Amino acid sequence: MKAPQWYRRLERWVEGDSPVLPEPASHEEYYQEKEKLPEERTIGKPLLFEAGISTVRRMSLVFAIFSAVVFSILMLITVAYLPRFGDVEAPPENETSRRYIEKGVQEVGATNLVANIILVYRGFDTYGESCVLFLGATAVIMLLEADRKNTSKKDEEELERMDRIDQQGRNQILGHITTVLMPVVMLYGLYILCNGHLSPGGGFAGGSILGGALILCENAFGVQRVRSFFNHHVYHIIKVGALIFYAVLICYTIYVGSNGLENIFPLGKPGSILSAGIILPINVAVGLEVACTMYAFYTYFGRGEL
Amino acid sequence: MMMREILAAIFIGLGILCCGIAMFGVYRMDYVLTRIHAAAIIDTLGTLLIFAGMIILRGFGWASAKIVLILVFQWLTSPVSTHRIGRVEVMTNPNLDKHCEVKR
Repeated sequence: MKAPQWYRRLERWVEGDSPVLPEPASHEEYYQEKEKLPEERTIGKPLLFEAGISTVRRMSLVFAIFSAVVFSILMLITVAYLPRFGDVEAPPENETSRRYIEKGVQEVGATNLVANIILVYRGFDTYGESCVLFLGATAVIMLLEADRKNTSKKDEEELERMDRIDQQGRNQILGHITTVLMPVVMLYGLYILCNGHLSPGGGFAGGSILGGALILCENAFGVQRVRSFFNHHVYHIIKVGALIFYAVLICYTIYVGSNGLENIFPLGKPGSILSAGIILPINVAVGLEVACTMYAFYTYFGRGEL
Repeated sequence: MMMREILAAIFIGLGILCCGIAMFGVYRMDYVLTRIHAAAIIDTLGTLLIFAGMIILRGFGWASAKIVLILVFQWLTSPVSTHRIGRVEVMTNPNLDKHCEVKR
């Protein structure tokens, strides 16, 4: 059955061909033509080649400049209507933010107000983001996981060749520097992780520094060395365990808070390390998860396995 | 006081000049090994001069101690990464002799 003419024209238009050129005699001829390079076709040339590339480029350049100018003028006009910094009448200056600023330290206990807001006042939202991170990492690993079905012999040979090059290139300089730097970088990451409720930083920042330290270790000493303490099992345990720990803490806090019960996590003295209730354990859990995700992404993109 | 600011300005200006030269080199050169040679100027000489200017401007104290620490870490890590990039290029590029006039 032959498709109606309007449908064939629509199909060619969707495929990027010119609908005005003569139509091919049959479907087979059309698809044979499409196998060739665009310049060599007699029928069904893309619009770009028909009009000449330079004309299309020039027109798109003119359009780009025009739209950029129009949008920048629109944005500048909008900026003029924004409220001033520190304006009392501004829309963000409402009772919510006033409450966060006035009672945040007293109610939640962390001197870092941002940590108060994202981990306790809006903790459910941040928990959702952590789930998104977990799901994203899982999906990426599903796509990149190398097993028998999606690796050919050529891939394995290529990986072996790269490993050999890596082995030859592994020399004294990087190893010595990493031996000096690794503890410092790890300590810095842990510091940021554990001081998330006192100073800027927290789970995501500290975790990415820890992940960077793991990647440095992998580069300097090879993947076998990292596997001795961070393999598949450890990865899964930390990742799932941290998320479940986070979920349990958040559920407990929401339940206790909404029913007016007493929280078993003491708020402590604001400004000391062991204070602010659930923020410190949550930061540690999030940081571990982020570090695992970063290192796993690195190795999965490189070799397809941990 | 005036003297110190002039000295700091000279140092920072020299540092910015170094960074500019390195930036120009990165865009002017056309091959990895020459490009990293240009880019390494920023991390070593450029940061040294700019940080020295900042220390002169602010005097000695906690802030300058932190600046010195940053400089130490920069000098530890940046040449190593440059070395690593060069090493990988030398090992993986099969047409190396075409780019290097001097034989390996």
